[in-house]
Amino acid sequence: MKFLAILKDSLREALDTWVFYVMVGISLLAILFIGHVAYRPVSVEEVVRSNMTLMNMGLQRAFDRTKKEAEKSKKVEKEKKAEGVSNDSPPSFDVQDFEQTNPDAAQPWQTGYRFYLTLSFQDEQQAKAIRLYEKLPLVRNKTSTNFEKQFQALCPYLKNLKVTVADPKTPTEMRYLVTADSTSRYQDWPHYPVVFFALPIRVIRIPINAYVQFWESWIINWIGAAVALLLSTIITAFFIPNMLRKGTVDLLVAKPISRPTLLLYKYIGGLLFIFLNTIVVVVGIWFVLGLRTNLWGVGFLLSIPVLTFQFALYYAVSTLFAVLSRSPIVAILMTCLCWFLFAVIVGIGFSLIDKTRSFRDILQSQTEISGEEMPSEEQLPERLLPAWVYTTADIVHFVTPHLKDLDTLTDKWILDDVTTPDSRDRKVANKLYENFHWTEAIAVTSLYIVTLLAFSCWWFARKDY
Amino acid sequence: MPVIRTDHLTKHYGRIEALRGVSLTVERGEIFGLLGQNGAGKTTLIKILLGITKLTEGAAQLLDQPAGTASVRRRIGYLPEDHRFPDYHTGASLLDFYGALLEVPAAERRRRIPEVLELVGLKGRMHYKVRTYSKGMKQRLGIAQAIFHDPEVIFLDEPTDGVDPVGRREIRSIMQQLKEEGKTIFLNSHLLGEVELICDRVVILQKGEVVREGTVAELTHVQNLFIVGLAPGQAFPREEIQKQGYTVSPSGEMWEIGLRDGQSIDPVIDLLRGRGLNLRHLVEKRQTLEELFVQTVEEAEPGVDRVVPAKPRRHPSRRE
Repeated sequence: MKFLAILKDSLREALDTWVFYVMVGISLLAILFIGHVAYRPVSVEEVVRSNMTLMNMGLQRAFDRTKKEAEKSKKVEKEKKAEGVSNDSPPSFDVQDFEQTNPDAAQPWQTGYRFYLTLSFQDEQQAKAIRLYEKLPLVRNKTSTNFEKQFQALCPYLKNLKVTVADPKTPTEMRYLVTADSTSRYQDWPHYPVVFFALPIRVIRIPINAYVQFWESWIINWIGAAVALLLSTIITAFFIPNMLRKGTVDLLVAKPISRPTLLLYKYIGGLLFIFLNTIVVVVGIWFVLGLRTNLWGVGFLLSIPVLTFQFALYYAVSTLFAVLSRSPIVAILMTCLCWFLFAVIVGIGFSLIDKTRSFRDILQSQTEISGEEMPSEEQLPERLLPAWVYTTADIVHFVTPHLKDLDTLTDKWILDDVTTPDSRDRKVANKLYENFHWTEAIAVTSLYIVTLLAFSCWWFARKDY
Repeated sequence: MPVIRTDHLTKHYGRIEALRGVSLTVERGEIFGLLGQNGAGKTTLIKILLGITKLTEGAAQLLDQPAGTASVRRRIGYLPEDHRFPDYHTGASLLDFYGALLEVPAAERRRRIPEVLELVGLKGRMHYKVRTYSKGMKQRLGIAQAIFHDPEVIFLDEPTDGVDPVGRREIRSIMQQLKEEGKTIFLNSHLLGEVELICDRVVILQKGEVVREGTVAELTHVQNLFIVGLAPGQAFPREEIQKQGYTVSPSGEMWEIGLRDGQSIDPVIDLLRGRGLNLRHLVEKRQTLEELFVQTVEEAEPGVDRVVPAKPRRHPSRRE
């Protein structure tokens, strides 16, 4: 009964502050903003055709450049005049007979593709003059293999992409047959966003899972979490100093409730308030993202306990300084200092140092995929920094609250949700985060929380009011 | 059995001795007044009894248990001086909150809230935020929360502070009602007139020590002094009374008659009646509590500097 009474009291106090409404407003806006963005799958034909347009533009530029160079060369000029070559415009790429191998496929990732890529010359004279154009890089290198590489880079989500030389239909063209199999999963398929319900942004073409990762990991788990923690700190920093004001504390400590219990209930009240708010925001965003993307990975929901746990530490710091000073300003400043020391200086510092330790491993993961060669030990040593730097970083990291680790581990859960086990990002993340462990992060941080609260309770219990 | 008992209670704040061996008892059903100057140790004494402050030496018992234990605190009500209620509460929600901390069941709280607020005259404002209350209304709310859970002992520290005269009378009436219900009230007030009106017993604290203790009647009673008044236009036989060994001195339109030890006022009354004079006023003169208080604190070396009435200032340029 007393616990519920103090919870209700904390809720009333929170509802009485304007910062609470700012927080609720920001949370709702975030949910609405993320929820309003729709994602449309990119059409392969559209991608290929828009790429052809780009290639033609490149060809035109190369043509113009070569033309200028040729005009300078009297020899070539003479040859052109002798052969009557028209060089007013360059040849052009085109896509013909584009078709899906499975015409019944409802979605673009459920079918293979087949089309012809043609390089058309203006006339036979121009075709004859191909030897001149062979000097142009874009023409010279357009072998089928190079086209394959180019298309694969353009559409990495297509499988078994093949480009073979086909018989030209006219003497003025070069013809290639492009085929690709049924492609990968939906989450790897590129999508473009549609904002404000009617405005497509077609230049952004990234896999749908990358959008989810962007919103969940970067916007919510990093920026959103920082804003939420700051606002929560401000809101809750007033709870305990207000309770300890002269004339208020007397009334409370004269009630049949022990002081440590009173303080802990008040602490839990603040924590629960943040927990509920985090549930609303995270579940809200998870839900609207799920509706928009149809990706329902639950890793993001882990942000709820993780954010609450991180706040538990900040609020324990706030509680201690509130009990010591009875000032909300001191409590807020000391909490911000704690955040700066542990999350920014120690957290990011250790993360950067740790990255240098696994830099070679990360590179190896990347080279395994790209097929490039690893640099030698001389070019890239195993450890980039002196040994004492790693030892110091490890010690400092171990004995301080692992706030950044918790963020990182949550990000990894989100990444695991939206990527396949063999994806490059997943492999890099596995190497990058191998020194981060849930057990250690929770245990060390919990120890700090318990110590801070124990000291706060002891101080509050022994003090005369 | 006394409900409150302190035995050589001492409290030090560093080098400052707030209480020095205070021993007192308060009986069940009494309205007990605690008087003293600012800094005399009154609030410290109450806070020790409630467990808000810890004692340095001695012992304090409340309801037969060591003062400050949770089980004792459940049975007491407390209105602190300069109380500050969370202003995000309404009058009703505040009582509900404190009631829950005092383990009053929810149904009982719902029943008691309008009842108690009506008693203190706040029922009409029970759903308004405390921040909209005047000082007097907050004081009434303070009394409401102190009596909400039907406590056995009620500590009231300046309960009429900021309350208008009508409100003060209402609060006195509530205290009387509580006394009739058998509650013990421990009252700390600067309004000595009120203390005199309502308290059964009084203790005066000075610099952390008990300097006077007794019933109001005992403390304010002055033996062998009567005030006598006759009907308008009748001459007072001063000399004849003096001849009988009484001292007589005028006191406004009346006369103050002093008795020697063993003397009675009856011969004076007989004399007046024998002379056919109409007696209109006869009262045994009592010292007011305020007079006693001022006298007591002056005797006991008050802790604050006395303000000496200033002499008329001369203009520096004026020469005599």
